[in-house]
Amino acid sequence: CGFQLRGEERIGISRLHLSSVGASQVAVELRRSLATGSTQIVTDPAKAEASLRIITETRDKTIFTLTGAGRVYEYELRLTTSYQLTEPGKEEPLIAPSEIVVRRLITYSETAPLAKEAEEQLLFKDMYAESAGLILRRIAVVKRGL
Amino acid sequence: QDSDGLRLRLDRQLRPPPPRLERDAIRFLEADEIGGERDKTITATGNVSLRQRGASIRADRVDYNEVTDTAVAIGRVRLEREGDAVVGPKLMYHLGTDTGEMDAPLFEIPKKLDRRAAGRGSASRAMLEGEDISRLFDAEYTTCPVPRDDWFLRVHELEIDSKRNIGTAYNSTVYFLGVPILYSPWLSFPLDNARKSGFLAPIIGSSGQSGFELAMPYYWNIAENMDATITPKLFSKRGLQIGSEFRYLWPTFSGQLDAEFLPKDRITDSDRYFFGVRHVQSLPFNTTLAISAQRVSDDDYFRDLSTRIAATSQTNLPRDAILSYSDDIWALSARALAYQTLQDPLAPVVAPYKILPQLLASGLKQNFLGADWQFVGELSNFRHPELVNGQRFIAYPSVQVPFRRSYGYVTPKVGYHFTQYNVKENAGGVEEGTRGLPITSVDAGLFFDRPWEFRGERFQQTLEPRLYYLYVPYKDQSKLPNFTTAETDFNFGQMFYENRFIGGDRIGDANQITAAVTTRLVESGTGLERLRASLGQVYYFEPQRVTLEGPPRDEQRSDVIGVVSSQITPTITSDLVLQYSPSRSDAAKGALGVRYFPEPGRVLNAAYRYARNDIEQIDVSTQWPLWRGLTGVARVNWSIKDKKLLEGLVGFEYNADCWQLRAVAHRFITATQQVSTSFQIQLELTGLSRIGINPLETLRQNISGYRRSDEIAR
Repeated sequence: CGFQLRGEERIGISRLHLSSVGASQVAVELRRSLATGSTQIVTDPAKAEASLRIITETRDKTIFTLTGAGRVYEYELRLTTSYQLTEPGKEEPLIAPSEIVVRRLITYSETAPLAKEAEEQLLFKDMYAESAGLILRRIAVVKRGL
Repeated sequence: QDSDGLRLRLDRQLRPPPPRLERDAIRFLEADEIGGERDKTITATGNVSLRQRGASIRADRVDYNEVTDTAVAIGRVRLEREGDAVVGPKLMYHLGTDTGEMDAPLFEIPKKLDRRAAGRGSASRAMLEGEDISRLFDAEYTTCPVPRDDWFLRVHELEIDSKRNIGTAYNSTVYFLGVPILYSPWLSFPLDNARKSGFLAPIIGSSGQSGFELAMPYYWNIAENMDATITPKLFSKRGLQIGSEFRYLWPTFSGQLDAEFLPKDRITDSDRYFFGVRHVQSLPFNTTLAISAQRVSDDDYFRDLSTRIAATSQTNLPRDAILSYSDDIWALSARALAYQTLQDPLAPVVAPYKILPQLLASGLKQNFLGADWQFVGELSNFRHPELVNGQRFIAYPSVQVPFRRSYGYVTPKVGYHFTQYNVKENAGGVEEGTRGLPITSVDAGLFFDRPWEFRGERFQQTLEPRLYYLYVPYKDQSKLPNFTTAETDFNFGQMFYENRFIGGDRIGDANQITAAVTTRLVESGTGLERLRASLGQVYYFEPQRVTLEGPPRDEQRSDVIGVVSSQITPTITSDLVLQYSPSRSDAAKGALGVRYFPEPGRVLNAAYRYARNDIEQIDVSTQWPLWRGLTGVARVNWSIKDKKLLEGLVGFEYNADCWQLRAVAHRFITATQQVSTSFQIQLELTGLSRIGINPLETLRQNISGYRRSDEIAR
């Protein structure tokens, strides 16, 4: 049906500069993910083929579902990451500032809030990794012209 | 940053100071005709323009006396300073000192920076003082465009500080649609959009529990990095509540203090209060201290006094302090946590344990000897007034060896989870002891790609099968304490977790394999993900014997989970989650949400949510322009299962550019058999009062994608 095993190197950039405004868990996941591939992360943006910048990274938690007694049944967790990809010396960015939103639902427990807090951390960890994956896939498509 | 973290309503950036104007002696005089005696008086007539840097005078005629350095302008006079303009029949102006006087002036203050409206007005007399201060007597001021006078301020003395961009009114009355609505002996308002102290738009409302309500929030801009909002709020049935919110931001620390106090509530006959604090402090050696604490006077505090469901739905208010350290490998923390549990009188819950204290250590060293090494350790002391107290120690070292290629990965992982409990002898049958369990898993996935075309659009489609095998031997844990543990939600992500419990007290026995597949449609060229669909199921080779309560489970397969999220068109997005039980042939859980968001200010959200035995509800919300400046807002969250309204809201916003009116009726459930019904109305005069907190917060929380009417570009 036309599917083929992914053969090429992952994002099509051999030297990437990675930076973030403030601390970024998505940037940590990006580093972790790129550590095993062929892309090298460089500290000097001038020596990089492209520069990826995490502009904002915001965590949100809002009530998603209420029970018939007015208690929280589910929260929605939201991770909003905005980023851009530029090439040194070029004005036009490869990827103009873009936003990705990743969502998860988590039920609440009135008797075990600490357990739910730990579960929330697990979900956010997942969401950081997913956001990093989405960014890398987008770079791959743009960079390799797929 | 967490959403509940510190966020200032207005910008907190330092701006460069306005350029200093050197009103040096360079002056330009242009006119149709210039005459007079040299070094004494000059008379210019016809289209006269007298300019010096930062100021200019235009008039039909100007007599300039060089000895006194004074210009007298007559006929269609227009003086401009710092962009502000004053127009009148006659002006006397001292050029050297930048002072002067004008009779019957009309003045205009243009839009500055990101200010939302220009100001204008008239007066019987204007005194122009140095430092770009103008003093206007018997003036009228408005931000409505000519010829509208929807609202205006009638003021005895109005001081316009064009350099600091502040207007100050002494003895003023606000007229709205010709009716005087407010008198104030002193009123200060910003001429630009900077943060300035002043009253926010008052809120008038009513609610079933508290009667008529009037709030007059005052915003106090203490310093560039500190502000406070003080809100006196009158409840006709209860009394006067004083609320305050104080925020601060330093390079090494930041935080917020909230307090509300309602002395001698006339309904409950008691003092009622709320206190909240958040503080984050950076300390030397990569350490951070975070404190978060809240306390209310009684269980009903929020239900009686708040119109925000985020407040009324709370059960556990934390008192939490965490000291944490992190470096590239280690994250260490020490924590103390207790809760105030707010009980619903008809549905009481068991309060959670306190942790006094908890020490945590986790470390991750990647790519060391070809593997990722991980350690999680914990030492906690749990206290509870009614339940058994005790200590818990956990050590969980693990190692995984990831093999990654462009087309896939295999990650075997082994670890050993060790726990020791100390508890006192008790009647509940809870025993102390140790538990050691090896945890083994293999995670493997493949990536396939293909190009795909649909209706002329080119996509890259992926196919990503994934298998996850987990083995954890069984150990009887039914006698061990449960301090903090719950079952995790069963969802797509959880199928790849190594424990179906979370919190440390139970390790689920497992001999199971998860099979899942994900496909994505990625737009060619842009790389944007337009559709993602996942399907997964867990196969159990042995019964799951560890439970929190109830008998072991012996299903051979889990429910099937399907997740689809898509962006059908640039303006329509949808999310579908379905958990289906093949053995019972029905759905255990499901949610479908669709959002139509054609442009800011126009949004429609619709959702259906279902959870077997617990939930069946629909949730529809919208913000939609109705007619010219009139926008409607509405939300209905209806429980089909309970046949009742969980939350309903209807309202409108009218934006007349120089004023906005918002009215919102809001009804929601606060506890079993209890509802809160409230009505709020708010009038905002652009450029005079500033945007208040409620009911905008209510709208934002109720309508996903909501935009304030003045934020929408028209």
